Amino acid sequence: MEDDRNLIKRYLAGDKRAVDELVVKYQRYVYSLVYRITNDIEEAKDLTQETFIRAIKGIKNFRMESSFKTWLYRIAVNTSLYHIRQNKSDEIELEESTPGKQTSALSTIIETEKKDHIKNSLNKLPERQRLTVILRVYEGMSCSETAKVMGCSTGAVKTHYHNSVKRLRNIFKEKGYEIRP
Amino acid sequence: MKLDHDEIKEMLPEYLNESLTEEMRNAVEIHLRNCEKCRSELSFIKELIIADAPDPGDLFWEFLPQRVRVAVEEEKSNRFSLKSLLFKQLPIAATIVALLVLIFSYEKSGDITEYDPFFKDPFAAEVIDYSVITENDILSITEYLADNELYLRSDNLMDYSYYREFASLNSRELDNLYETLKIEQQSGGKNGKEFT
Repeated sequence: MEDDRNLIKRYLAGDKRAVDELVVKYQRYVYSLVYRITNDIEEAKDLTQETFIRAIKGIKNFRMESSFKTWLYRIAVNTSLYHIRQNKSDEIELEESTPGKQTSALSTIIETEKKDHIKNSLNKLPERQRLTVILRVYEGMSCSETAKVMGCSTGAVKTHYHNSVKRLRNIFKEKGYEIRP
Repeated sequence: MKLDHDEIKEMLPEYLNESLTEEMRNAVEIHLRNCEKCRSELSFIKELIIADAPDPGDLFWEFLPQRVRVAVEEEKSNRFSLKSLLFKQLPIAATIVALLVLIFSYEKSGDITEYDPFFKDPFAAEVIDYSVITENDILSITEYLADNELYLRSDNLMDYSYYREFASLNSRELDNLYETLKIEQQSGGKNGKEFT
């Protein structure tokens, strides 16, 4: 696949189709990140589109000092957080799955319940701690990359990550989920 | 590569996402064999990862690039641009400017009859029938003009007698005046009650 810098240069030179290639390359990453922040499929779809529109409109401001992915993630995070703050009355709280309503196999029920529990536990974390877990664990970003996306120091990311994992483990323990090595 | 416990612990998310170099990966695996804390942390991160994002569907992926491109292009074309206003809309802009100049100069001249050959002034000297004017009419017109002249020539409105009179009233007198005017307004000016 073509290098991001070449795609950006092509777009700035007037090749509108370069946008399509950039979107195809990163759409799943952006959607996944935005979904984990919002926990809503429809909102995640809209915000994914909004992120790309903002990025393409401001592509002249991308100075190629960091990777395009990091820059794009930063826009995605800011767009999502802005959206959440604007709609703060809509609390992100998932309903606990009720096994009685499920008709699938027991293993699937347990799996679904566990996923809901993880999402709810993540939602209980303060905003920056939650973001650190999403970027580090789900997106596999290093501490320095996460710091660039969040606009803070690497030390702050380490602290947030350490505290959030500790807190999540406690929430898991309280709910009776055992983590075996 | 020699890495300490904290450094390895920090790399666990990247180890799970397979974004480490082979050398680092080996270092992490060697450490994991002997460190129960790091194995426990890795298991916990693995547990978190199972909460995957639901797929929004093929249609979403297929049309997203096109939707983004079209939205960006539309916003660009709707954006206000002085350049495009001056060059693309030049004929319209020139017409508007010419009309504005014409209207402005027309009004500024003060005497619009000068430019309208069809305008007839109803008060022009040659149109008035002097035979129907009585002495009383002339007297009232003269008084009216004298009053207006006095008012219009006054630089300071406070010099005008009505204003001086109003300014000298106390609150009770002002209340009375207000009530009187209100009654006059309701009766259509036929009450004839004098202000005291």
